[in-house]
Amino acid sequence: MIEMHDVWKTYPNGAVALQGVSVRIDKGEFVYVVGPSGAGKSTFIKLMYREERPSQGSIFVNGFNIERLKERKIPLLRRQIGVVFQDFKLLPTLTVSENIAFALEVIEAPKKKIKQRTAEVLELVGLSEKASALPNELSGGQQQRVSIARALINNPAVIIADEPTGNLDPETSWDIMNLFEEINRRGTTIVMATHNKEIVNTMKKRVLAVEGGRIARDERRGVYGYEN
Amino acid sequence: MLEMFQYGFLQNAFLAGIMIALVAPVIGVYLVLRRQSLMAETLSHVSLAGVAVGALLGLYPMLTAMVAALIGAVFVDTLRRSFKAYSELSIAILMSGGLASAVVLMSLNKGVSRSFTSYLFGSIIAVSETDLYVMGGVVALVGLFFWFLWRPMYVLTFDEETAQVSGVPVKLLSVSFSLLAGLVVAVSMPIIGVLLVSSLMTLPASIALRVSRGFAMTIFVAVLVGLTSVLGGLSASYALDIPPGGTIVLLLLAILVVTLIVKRIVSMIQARVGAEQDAENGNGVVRTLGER
Ligand SMILES: Nc1ncnc2c1ncn2[C@@H]1O[C@H](COP(=O)(O)OP(=O)(O)OP(=O)(O)O)[C@@H](O)[C@H]1O
Ligand SMILES: [Mg+2]
Repeated sequence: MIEMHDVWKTYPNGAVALQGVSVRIDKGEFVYVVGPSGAGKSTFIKLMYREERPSQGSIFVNGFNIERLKERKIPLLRRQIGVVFQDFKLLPTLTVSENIAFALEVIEAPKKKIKQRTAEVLELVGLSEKASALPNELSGGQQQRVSIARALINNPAVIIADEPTGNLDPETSWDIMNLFEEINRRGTTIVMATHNKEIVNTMKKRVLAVEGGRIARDERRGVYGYEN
Repeated sequence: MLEMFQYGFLQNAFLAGIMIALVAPVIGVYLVLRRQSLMAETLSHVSLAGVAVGALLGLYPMLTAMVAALIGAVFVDTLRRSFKAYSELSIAILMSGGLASAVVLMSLNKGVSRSFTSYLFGSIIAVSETDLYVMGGVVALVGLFFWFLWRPMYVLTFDEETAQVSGVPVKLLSVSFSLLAGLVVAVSMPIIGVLLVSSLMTLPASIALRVSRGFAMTIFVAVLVGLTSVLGGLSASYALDIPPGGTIVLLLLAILVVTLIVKRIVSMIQARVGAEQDAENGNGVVRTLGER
């Protein structure tokens, strides 16, 4: 599903974010990426959806060689990856369903299909009644559900999330995490950077610990392992 | 009041007004969303210079206005793209340059100063049949543009980066849209006047964005507001014998103020109802999260 071979990343300003990372994530896995601030978690994640390019090394996502990918093939890659951000990144003037349908408008999907698929994912995240609400009329947890629905709209093989519960209170974080687990149970691979110790320790998933740009730990049923 | 339609010039004015009111607010919504509200203003000043050149050379002024607006549109778009940091300055230069050269060119040409004011403030007797055909052509062009390109345009407007990686020809589309905006500005001039053209583009858009849920409704409301103000403004202009540009924009401002007041009242009522409901539920939090 996702493979990295000896990946290095140095930002233009000289900051070395990753130093020789090699990892393999299989289809259907649920992986937490943990580590201190500045360790390189976000960089690791951004490389997967080609937001950043590696300085060295090779990356494969769902059969695509990210490095060799032609410019015009990027949309194909992005369609197989759903991304969820800490700050939701919803468009404030669009309704919930318009926000979710956006990715399908981009690829000019038929109207009927857009309607049907939007209703499906809204139902999955439990927000069917909020279809015509505006983002600022929703709670933080609801907004994150919308952005998860948006990530799901293309039925991606993998969902990549960078601290999706970073702006949410503990109880809401659990709701969101349960939703991710449900999505994973339906077969979607999930890679998630998080600082949420309690959740990582309870869920007993695979844990990748990144420290100083290197994979310091890789455990099947891992724990958080830091004192926050 | 109905007897006013006996006059052919009024029919022309109303036909032209309806056409403008259909397209200008739509362009305006995209301009406001793309944070390009100043562009309408800039293009109107540039197209005024076009009118002045046309008057001087004895050419059809709407045509020269269109040419000037098209050149201005390419300029604005290129500047926005290439010199992000200086784009405000360059727009200011283009705007004042357009107006200044129009004034100078016009004063060189003593004969036409009277019709010049009609380009500044609008006029309901200035619309010729040729104007109507040209306007009809522009309206059709706007219609075709959005009929075929509304989705890429929609994506471009809300998320230029996504548009780029999704293979939307961002530059081409952006320039085409600016050109279209230039054409609409140039043909709106005879009615509403060059100084107020940008108001008819951006005011309905800002009103619509305040009251609408979502994009489709925003477009609809903007056109509705545009039509109301243009039809109302033209009638008032005829009844009171004042230039239509002023009456149209005053009507728009009145609609804006009423909208703001109504919105405030509604949100006050909602806050009170919400507080009562919370009191009934016995706590401040209404749980509406899904089951999973
Ligand atoms: N766009 C950038 N330009 C320059 N340096 C960057 C950039 N993004 C990250 N870095 C640097 O790369 C290193 C890794 O950053 P990264 O954002 O991947 O860490 P992180 O593990 O996600 O941290 P956090 O837990 O705080 O989100 C840091 O030293 C950071 O300063
Ligand atoms: Mg980070």
